[in-house]
Amino acid sequence: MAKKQYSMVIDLHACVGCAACDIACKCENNVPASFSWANHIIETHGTFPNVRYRHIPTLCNHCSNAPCVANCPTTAMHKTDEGITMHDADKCIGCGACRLACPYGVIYYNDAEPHHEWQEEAAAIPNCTAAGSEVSEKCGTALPYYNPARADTLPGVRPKGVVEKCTFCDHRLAHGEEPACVEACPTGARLFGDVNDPRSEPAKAIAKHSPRVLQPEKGTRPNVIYIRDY
Amino acid sequence: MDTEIIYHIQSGPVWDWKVALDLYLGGAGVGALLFAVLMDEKYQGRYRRICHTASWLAPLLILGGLVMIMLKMGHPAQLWQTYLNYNPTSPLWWGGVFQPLLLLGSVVYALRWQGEREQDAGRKWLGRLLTPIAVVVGTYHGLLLAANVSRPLWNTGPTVIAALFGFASTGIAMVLLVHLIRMRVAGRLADEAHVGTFLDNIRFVRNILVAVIVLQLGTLFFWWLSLRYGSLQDQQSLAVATDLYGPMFWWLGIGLGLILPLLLGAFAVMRGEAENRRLQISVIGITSALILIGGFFFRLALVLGGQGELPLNVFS
Amino acid sequence: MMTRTASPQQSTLESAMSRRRFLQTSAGLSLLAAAGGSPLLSFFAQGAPFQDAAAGPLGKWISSTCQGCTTWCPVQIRVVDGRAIAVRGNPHSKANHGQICPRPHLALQQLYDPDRIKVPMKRTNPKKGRNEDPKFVPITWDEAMGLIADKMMELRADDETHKFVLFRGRYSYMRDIIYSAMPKIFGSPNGISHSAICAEAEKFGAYYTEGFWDYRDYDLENTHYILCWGADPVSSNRQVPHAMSMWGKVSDQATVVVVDPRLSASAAKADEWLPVIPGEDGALAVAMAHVILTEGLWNRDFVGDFTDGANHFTPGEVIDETLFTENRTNGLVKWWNIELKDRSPEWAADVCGIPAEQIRRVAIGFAKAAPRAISWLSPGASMQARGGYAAMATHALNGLVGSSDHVGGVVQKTKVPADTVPDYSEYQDDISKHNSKQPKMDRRGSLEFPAMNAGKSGGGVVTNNAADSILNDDPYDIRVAIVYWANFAFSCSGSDRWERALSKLPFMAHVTTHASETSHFADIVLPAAHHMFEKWSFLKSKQNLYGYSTLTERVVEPMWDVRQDETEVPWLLAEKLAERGFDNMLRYFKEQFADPETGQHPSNSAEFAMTAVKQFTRACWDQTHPDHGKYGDALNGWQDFAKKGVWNSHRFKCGKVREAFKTSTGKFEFYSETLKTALTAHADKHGTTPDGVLEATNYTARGELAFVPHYEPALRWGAEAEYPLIFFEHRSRLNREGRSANCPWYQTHKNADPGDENWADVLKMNPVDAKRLGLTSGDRVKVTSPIGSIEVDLKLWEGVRPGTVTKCYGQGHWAYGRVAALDYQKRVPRGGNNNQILPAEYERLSGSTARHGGVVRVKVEHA
Repeated sequence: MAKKQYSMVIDLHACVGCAACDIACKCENNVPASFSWANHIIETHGTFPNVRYRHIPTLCNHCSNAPCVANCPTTAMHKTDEGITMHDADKCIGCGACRLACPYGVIYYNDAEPHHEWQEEAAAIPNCTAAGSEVSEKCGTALPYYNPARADTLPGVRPKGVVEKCTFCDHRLAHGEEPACVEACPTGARLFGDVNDPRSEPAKAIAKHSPRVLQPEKGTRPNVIYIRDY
Repeated sequence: MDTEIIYHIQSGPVWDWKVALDLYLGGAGVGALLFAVLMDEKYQGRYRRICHTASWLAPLLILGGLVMIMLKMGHPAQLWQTYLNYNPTSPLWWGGVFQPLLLLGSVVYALRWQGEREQDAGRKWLGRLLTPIAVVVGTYHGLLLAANVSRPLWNTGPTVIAALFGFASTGIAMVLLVHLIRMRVAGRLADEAHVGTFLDNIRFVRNILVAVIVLQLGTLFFWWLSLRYGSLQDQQSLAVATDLYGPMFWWLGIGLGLILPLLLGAFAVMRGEAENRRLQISVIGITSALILIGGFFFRLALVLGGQGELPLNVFS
Repeated sequence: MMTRTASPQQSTLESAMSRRRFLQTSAGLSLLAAAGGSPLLSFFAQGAPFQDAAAGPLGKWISSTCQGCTTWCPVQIRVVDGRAIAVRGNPHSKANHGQICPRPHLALQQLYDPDRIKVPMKRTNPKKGRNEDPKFVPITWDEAMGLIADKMMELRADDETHKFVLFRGRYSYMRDIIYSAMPKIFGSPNGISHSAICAEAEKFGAYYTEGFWDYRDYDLENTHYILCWGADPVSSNRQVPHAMSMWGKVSDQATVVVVDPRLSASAAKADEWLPVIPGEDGALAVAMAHVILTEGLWNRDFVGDFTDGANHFTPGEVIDETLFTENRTNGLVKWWNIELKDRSPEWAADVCGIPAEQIRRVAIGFAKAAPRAISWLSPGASMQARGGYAAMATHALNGLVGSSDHVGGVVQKTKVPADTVPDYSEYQDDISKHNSKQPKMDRRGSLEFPAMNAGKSGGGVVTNNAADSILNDDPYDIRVAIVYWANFAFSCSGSDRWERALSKLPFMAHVTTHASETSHFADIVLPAAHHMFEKWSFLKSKQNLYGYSTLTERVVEPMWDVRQDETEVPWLLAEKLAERGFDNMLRYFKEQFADPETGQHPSNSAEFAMTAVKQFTRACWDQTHPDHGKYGDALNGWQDFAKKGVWNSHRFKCGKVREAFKTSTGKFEFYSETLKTALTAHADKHGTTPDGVLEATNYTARGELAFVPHYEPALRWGAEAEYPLIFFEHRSRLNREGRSANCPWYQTHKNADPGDENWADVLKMNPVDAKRLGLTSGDRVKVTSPIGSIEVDLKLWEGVRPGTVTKCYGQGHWAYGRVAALDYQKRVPRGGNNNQILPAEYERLSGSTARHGGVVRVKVEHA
């Protein structure tokens, strides 16, 4: 039997461009507000009134031929047995080679302490309204909606000096849950599973529709695959 | 309006002037080392003093480069992970392994140039041993950029070749300039006989320098051609880089760093430099300085320009 | 299960997991434990029964409801260590398919917003105004409620209790305690709702055609054509998650056409975009009706036919009414003769800016797909100064093609059983009884404000006029106000009037989560429990042909000293009034409310909140209730309801309603006898004629036109010469009713609204206009209307009609928090509030605020 390769098929026809995936991802993975593990490309084409608009959700493509993995000097960026492009913050030296290598801009670098807004002590109205530090202290976590499950396989919050990116929610897969963006998608546009298993949702979708990937000419062999059009 | 594409990713260049300086210093260090080795092979230690300068410049410059790249790292404390793990597809892994190795080797090599001995078989052998490592490190500085498939400006063969020519020119220029300064400090520039011998016998070096510059110009022209008439992405990447760093690249990197030194050299020859040692010295000093200044801006423009945001192709 | 590449640093996954988790959460746990008897921990010890299915090894999913828009979706919240960390759709909900839109996720950042009010605040600067610092100081709930009670007792002493007003904003169905019982027992008629600033005009359309004063439901699963009138179903208004989850299937099987001057999220995915000139939707609708009739495409079964079987609808020609026999409709030929015969697509093209052939194509496509077709009316096409008739015209298309109450068409609703406040008349004393009958302060029912809710003159609210009532002491001077979950100084058009009115109010208390624009003028600010996470209440709504009753629950113990607005606040007030000698309200609360399970009467505010929600929702879960299980789910007791969080009705069955519409004629009315009766009654009340009413309400129609859906030219403020561009606003898929701009996630994802930019509040302009004005993207521009101006960033965009400019509603806060405002301390807004340039104009027949339809013209220049 073929090796497992987790894949995500995104049905652009079903997608309505709501960004629930983007937000749910931030929530699930304790991602700083300014980073977008789950992201989107917006394309507006044409002239009034013949205007065409596309919203294309993006995330780490978990490439089979991942340039970030190839370029990482410490193997902090690596492929798992299930085809996930995974990052090990304990090995990361923060050199940026992966970010330069990636054609998709999906790797983010923590150039400052993340979630610093939860350490701020000033209040808008002194003694009457709260402050970031007060909220996080009461919660006892780095950020109030901190998800401890994320810490199963990555630092719950990635420290300053290392990179971070989508992991296909490997920590959720371990509990039999789908990635957060898949669960959050209200349109069912995201199909997740082992693409090497012909019975899986993504394999079936790929067989039925003509699949496309972003920047195929880069030879990265992405495992985030798009079907139909927005 | 034709097509507007919005895609917000983390903005700003990943690699900045520190990496440009690493490429620059590391390259010049490799050049200086190879200069000493070459001189030792050709003149059998007759120009001990300039080789001595070169041999000490090498570890200093290589160290400088390493410090720069360390400063760029977010988590240098975990650098040892490089040595626990093996990733031959990563130029930075090769660099991480071989640049410190070259640093150590070049220190030992420099120590062998201490003292007054002209001939030293051990030094020669060490030089020969270090040569392939130096070439690897020099090549690595080109591959570091060229290995990025997502950066069309860098992702070319000429990028690597230009890096090799670059380390040769800046290495030689660095040695010449520093040695001139050293001679001046030591008061030897007033010693006509000494200067005469020096000048007569570095003609070989100057020939190499001229050849390197000409080849570098040819390489860059080829590089420009391949981008300018390459794929759409190549053209876009060239346009984006030119738009942002064109003046720095063309005026400082090429004009100041390559063409002007050539012209100055030709000018000196025409003005009969053989008879005018003062002029000769000045031209060597000035051209070396120009090559060094230009060499830095060439790399800075290349490093920054290669990271410009390209128009995104969406299922084109 | 999960495997990972081996590395020397990692032992097994499990141990790595436990180590890290321990390290990162132990601080929190020990902190809570140190607090000693922390309510957080104890609550979750007791709260366990309410948890739904386990959420995997981490945390529990607890049910509640999102009130970020008026869909009111059943949701579940993942709670770990007493913290809310994630939100999902409630899997027990049939209406939203267990799905949610982006809004509920944002709510987490509202709950934990560092700018939330922690404790009651008292104003110490008596001067009120935008540029006055209120100098708020913290006080206790006891003090705060005492101060409010003092002011209210003064009114009783002066026999002026009607000069108390309760302004209601975002509410739950606990509302009648604070909105109805509390003012009436105290002695005021003034429960003033926010309803009319948002949607009443669209109910006008359905009511005066098919007798249904409510939002419609849509059978998306079976439809073949959707014609959206300003509606943006995948983004905003109602039924958003249902529409989102169905839209892929809908686009497969149906043609989708969106009428909107802006390329909305739905327009971006539609088969056709009809960028109508703002406010001219009515012309498009009547032209489509004209095409449907002239092409002979009306639904014979529903509407009827010519007795001779021929089609006599010849453009421009009057028809003998007797030639046509109607089935389930009333007045088709009258409509044709009075209005439609001359409304050709060619005529409409000039008026509404849509090419005639496109009008014809869409009308024919719609009619041919019918009756599995939907003409989807929204606030955009009805909340216009003359939008009442546009609402009727667009909805009447459903009558023409027989899609009203038909499979794949537009339907009404199922019954969702619930109880409300017990009778309180015995607790009203003479003052209460007398003063509660005083005219309401918003002047509803006056000649120029008919506000005919369900046909009754003055039956609806004229929310936005309340500011003028306060400013003009008309009908009387308001002395004390309580405002809850409303921010009229921001959310009402002509917001400057509210700033002046609130400055003038002698005493106002504001119940809110954030120090908003309205709080800025308050004497007392009371920190409110967040409805989705901290409040016990229930809501009724519908989607996907299912009605439902859904609970909001206290899923986490509040971090701050907050109270539940609709239950605890009136209770606490009742206690203070009782202390001051007026105990009727407290007695009512104590005697008339009792826990249905234990029979126990509440003894404090928290018990009251819990008791009331159980009492009101008994029909859903209490087997002893006569309605239990009759209309839908038969839940097994309160615990079951609290755990599931939602009660689903049976699925709506089409075909019953059309047998007897609740109109005067019992038919679907193209000639509205229902409206004729209502207008005539209102005219009689004021000694005038329906024509007199139309004149007073800014309509141009006279005579018989008043009773049929017809075209009315758009009403706009500002002369074209001075203000060359038509301004219109639109909604955001991230707006939680204008309350989410302080959430960083709102700002970082704002470009999910087509044409918008992250961390900005852009005015969108067509490049053609920008070129003419010498402007470009990124320019800082001043947008000036006849009533005010704002400064925002400009964005050139092809998705907006030339000659118009548009901006999203929801930003431009100069208060609310340090993200929403660019400089909170200096009151510098991020972006600009549309309501500073939109005039206080009305669709007066329904009392609605006319915020749409390009009601104002603007000029745009470099700032």
